[in-house]
Amino acid sequence: VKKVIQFGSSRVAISYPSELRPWFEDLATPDDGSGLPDKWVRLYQGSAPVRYDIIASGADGAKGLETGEALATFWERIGFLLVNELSDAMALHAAAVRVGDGFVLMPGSSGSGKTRLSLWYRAHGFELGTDEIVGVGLSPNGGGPVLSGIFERPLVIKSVADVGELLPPEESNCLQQASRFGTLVKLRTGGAWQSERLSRGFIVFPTFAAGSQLELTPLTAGESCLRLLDNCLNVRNLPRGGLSLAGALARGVPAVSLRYGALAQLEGTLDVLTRQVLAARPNLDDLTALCEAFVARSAIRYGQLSVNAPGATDAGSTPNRVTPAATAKRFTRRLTVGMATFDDYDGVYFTIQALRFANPEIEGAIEFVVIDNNPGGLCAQALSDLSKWVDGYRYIPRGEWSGTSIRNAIFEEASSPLVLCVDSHVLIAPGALARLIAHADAEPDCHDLLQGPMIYDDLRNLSTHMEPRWRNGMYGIWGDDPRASDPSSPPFEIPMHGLGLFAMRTAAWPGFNANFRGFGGEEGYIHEKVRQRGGRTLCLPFLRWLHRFGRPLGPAYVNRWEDRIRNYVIGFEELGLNCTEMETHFGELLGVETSARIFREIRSSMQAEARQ
Amino acid sequence: MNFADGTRRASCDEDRAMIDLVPTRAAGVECEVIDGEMVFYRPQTTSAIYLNSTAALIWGLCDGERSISQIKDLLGDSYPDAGDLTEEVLNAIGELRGSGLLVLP
Repeated sequence: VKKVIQFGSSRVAISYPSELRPWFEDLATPDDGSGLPDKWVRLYQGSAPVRYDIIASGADGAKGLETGEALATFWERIGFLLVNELSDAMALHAAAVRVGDGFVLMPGSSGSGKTRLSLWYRAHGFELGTDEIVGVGLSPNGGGPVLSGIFERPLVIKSVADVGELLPPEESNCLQQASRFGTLVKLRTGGAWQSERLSRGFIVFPTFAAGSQLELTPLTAGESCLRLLDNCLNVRNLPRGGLSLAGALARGVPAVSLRYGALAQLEGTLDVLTRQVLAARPNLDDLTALCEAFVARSAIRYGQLSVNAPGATDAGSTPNRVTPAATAKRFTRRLTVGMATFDDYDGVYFTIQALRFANPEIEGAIEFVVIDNNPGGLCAQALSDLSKWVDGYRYIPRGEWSGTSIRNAIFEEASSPLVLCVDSHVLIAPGALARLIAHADAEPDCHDLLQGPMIYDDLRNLSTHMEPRWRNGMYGIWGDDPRASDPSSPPFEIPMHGLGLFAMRTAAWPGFNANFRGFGGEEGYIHEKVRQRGGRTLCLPFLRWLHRFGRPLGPAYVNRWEDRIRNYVIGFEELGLNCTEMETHFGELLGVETSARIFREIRSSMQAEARQ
Repeated sequence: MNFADGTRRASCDEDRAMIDLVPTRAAGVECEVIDGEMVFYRPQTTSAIYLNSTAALIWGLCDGERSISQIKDLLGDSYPDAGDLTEEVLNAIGELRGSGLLVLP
């Protein structure tokens, strides 16, 4: 396949094997008849199976590359040729997003977090243009800087965790390919981005350093100009080294330096700041005041969030706040609906009240058990006070242990023979609970784990289960079994499923491994554990549930990637499962050496804990 | 004390010798003035250099005719409360020299 890639006035001819066509859709254009440019890159099938070679005009070639590495190298060569001789625009090593006619440029060297930040902006309603190169020129009529081009390409997401975190659920199945550079991701592209005035803009120079505090530092125009030049890829080609272009951009567009340690820090801070800057174009004094205010806001909130970060203090607990007592009375009912929560009063409130609204026929048959994982937190008293209004409601403060295993406490506290465990942000289809009770009554001695189809926000699409396969560092890929399309269909077995909702007889609950730490890794594990104990893992088509994925204010806890891997290892080893496939998967994602080191450290710490 | 370019900063005796030198601006350096600050580009090294408004002021006084001593006196007249500025001026000129923006004979 022969196509052309254009960036401003620069063009590069490319050719690639037809089996890789999906990677180039909407990114490359056919030759428009003006003739193929003299700069070219060719990607072709190498001599070895599923290996590719690359040759390029004026750039190094490469041989024997695996698919991911070949694609990443191919796009790197294209980018090089596009900017190598570009002289009528400044090629900034930068990501770019836009909303309306407002632009955000994120200049930074490789590894500074451009891709992560641009995907985060995308998740907040901005349109992603590029995560790599932006062209900036000057308007010929003296109208200031213009965006002369963007280099659209598949994203290269270096952190495995970010793939799952930053892609919305509906895009989790987009085209992806692991490589030693990171995971290549082909996303939907937006509209045309050619020659647009940068009249409303914001420049964010990002630095990502895991675990660091949020810092937003406004930059003077001179400081911004210097940093723009530092990230200019074609200074040698530009008159005065690009000083005039960088100066014009720096004078006209407010800029900040951003240092952050977790995406949660940006929620309610950078998104709000960005929209304010785009709307009002503040001067340096106002921008300084805004940054100080947002950093203070983040410090307050993020302090509350650091629940399971190493060495973190529970900033959500003030010294004067009294932990509410547990509700003493037990309610022996037919069904216990339990949930664990960490500072999510809204979720608990609406989940429980929606259940009561939608299931009036079984009022009096339900016990509600709420395990508060931050009993010194801001929501504790309000969560406790719900017992004044909700029949059968029990508040249980359990701050001494956090993470996925906290849900064992629901089964420990339940007074009913059947437990339905839900996330505190799940809605359940009307009438489903009565049918669940009926199902359990019909099989009073069963050891089955009962689940149902998860409904997406469109209230149409379902995920009935997960396929037990590894992808992007996660075990389990959402699947949809047509047998669940009719809610009255009979139950059927599933291999595994997300654990936003599951039910089981209280006496049969096998328990999560108490050594699980943090969040993640329990899907698949608990299903296999149930099967090893003679139970089945079933999808009950009527037990439909809606899961709130969106969290614009960020989760109230830190979801640590290493905890997830550790939990996988613990779970697999407990059940006698072979970890080879897991280790191979992480080896492909993280690199063999890095992966091996992580697994060594996990096993070493597990052995040390076992000795204690 | 050392200059940014690694050369040793003058002692008090050397200060007296340096103070009469006349710094000149390096040739072939592009400059952009932005709101009182300066950004330079050196094509030889394809590097950019930023001067805040204070450093830009000192660089602006280095016109190839004034000695360091005269520059110090001019600044002292403008900022009478600042005290003896010899150390600061020598340091700043050392930095500018180390960055390739000034030449000392």
